[in-house]
Amino acid sequence: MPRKQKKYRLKFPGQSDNLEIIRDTVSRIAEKAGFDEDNINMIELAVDEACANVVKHAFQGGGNKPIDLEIIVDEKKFTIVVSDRGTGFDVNKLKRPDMKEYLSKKRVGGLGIHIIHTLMDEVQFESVPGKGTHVRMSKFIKNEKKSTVKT
Amino acid sequence: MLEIVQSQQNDIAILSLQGRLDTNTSSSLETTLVDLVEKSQKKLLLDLSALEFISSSGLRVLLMIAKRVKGMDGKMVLTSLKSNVQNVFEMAGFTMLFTILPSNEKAIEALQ
Repeated sequence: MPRKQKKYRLKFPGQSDNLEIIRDTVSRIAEKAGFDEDNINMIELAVDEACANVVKHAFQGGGNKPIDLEIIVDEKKFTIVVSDRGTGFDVNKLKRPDMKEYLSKKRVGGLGIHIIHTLMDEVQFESVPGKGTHVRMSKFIKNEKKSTVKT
Repeated sequence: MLEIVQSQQNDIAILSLQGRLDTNTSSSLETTLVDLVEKSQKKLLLDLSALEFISSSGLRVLLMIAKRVKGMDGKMVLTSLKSNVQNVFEMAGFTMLFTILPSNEKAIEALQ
């Protein structure tokens, strides 16, 4: 029987001291969706990077604006949408860093974006300068939950 | 939450990190490491056996310190990474930049 879609909507104050609570909450939902520990760790880190970018760049260090998380779980994939109503940016200027250049020269930024793209199967950024940003990232569910047979 | 326990073995500064190295906690590690580097501490051993989580903020601090230590002809060694932390290093290509060893004993040998 196909798994019914589940949606979770969460709202957190956009401050860096809430990142741990966000990670823990998303981890529990990922665990419930059937991911193994390695994949839960990947999802947790991707969400942390996306939310840390909101606090640092969209909210420029903090404030009272919220970070909105929508998590959609169906039989095929686990999707997280991180949304903010912060400064926004021109997505055409968003580039994944050249890691060889990053590692050999000075910091050029974008390490968090590189990590999100590496960890997740699908990543999409939508942003309007002055209005806010949505980061939509998904991980495919590959029937990872192993059943335990009691003997 | 990140706990940093600092000790000294001869000319090697040993820092054991326990907890999570993220946006919130990376500044305390940066302060500790910059302080050591500014006191001309050339040999650093970071025991990561109890480090449960690292994000790009933590990686940036380690990269910055590694560059400073290299610039003063010193050496920084990381030990005992948990598999999830090791995965983040590999994913970011950071394993090429750091000496990562399985134990503090091996790291002390390498630093002497």
